[in-house]
Amino acid sequence: MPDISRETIRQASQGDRAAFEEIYRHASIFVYNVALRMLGSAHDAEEVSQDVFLTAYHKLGGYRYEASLKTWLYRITVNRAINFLKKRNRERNRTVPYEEAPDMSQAQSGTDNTRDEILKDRQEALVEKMLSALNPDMRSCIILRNLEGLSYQEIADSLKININTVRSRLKRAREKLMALRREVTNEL
Amino acid sequence: MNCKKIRGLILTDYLDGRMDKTQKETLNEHLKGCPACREFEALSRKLVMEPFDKVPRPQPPALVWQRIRETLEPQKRKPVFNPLGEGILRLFNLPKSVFALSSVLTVFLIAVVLTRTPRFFKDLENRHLARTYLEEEIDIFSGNGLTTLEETNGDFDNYLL
Repeated sequence: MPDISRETIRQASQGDRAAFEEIYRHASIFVYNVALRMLGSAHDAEEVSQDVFLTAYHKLGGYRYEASLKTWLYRITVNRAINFLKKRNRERNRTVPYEEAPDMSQAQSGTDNTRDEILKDRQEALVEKMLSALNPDMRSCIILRNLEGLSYQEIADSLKININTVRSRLKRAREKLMALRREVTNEL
Repeated sequence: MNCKKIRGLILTDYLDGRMDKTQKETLNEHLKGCPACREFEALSRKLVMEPFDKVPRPQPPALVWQRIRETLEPQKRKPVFNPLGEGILRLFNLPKSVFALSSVLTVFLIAVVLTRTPRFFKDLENRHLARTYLEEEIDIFSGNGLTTLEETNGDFDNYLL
């Protein structure tokens, strides 16, 4: 995301809708994608994205440029997504273990799909399955690092944690994913 | 450096491209001499990192911005086609200060009427009672042969019921 100018942020914080829409246009893709990967549902991601931008609109007045706007928005997105997950899990009262997750590794499309589309569907299903096996803390680090390409420092700033905590969570997350994937691979 | 530490580095700084030249050389030296760690490095890259390469990043639907905009913008009043309804609504379209003032005056007048009404009826009743009383007194006076109050010589009490 190219940097949004301070002037645009200032105007948006004073209620300028056009300035706020500019922020939305620049940030909506990464906000939506982080929410989508955290929640595994497009419908839930839409709801959380809407919540993130409404929160940002009302809190822009308090934004102090200590972190970049992108970092600030990542933080709001991850927090909102984790809160949404907790609420959803309370309502469902159970989490879906990795083994029970629907097997989407096989394409469920008709014969008209091209090979590329089939591979894309399989990759999408695999990523979703892998992320669903992680707790929210590990999941957010994997998403921000592997999918959003943030540096360790940027992840630390976004999640307000120590850089060594970022490293630790990534290590544990990848160890878990390695073990799960080796188990599935060995069963095949 | 032992294998456990090497594998920890592989899963973090090595795969994430964070190692400086010296650290990388040290790790590569270990991998040259350790087939288990070499296999671990290859597997971790394939099983844990590659699935996340070039994952599509969809755009949010247009509906998301539409809902945000609708939430931020005030609702507009829908037009009313009922003439009577329009007339009533026009009344309420008066400036707020005028409407407020007239409401206060109305409430005040109602309050005055309600508080004075019992007294009014009480006065009315008293006048009726007084009239009845005087008529009866006149009957008494006329029964006693008196025609004016002066003839009682101020002794009204004896002539009063």
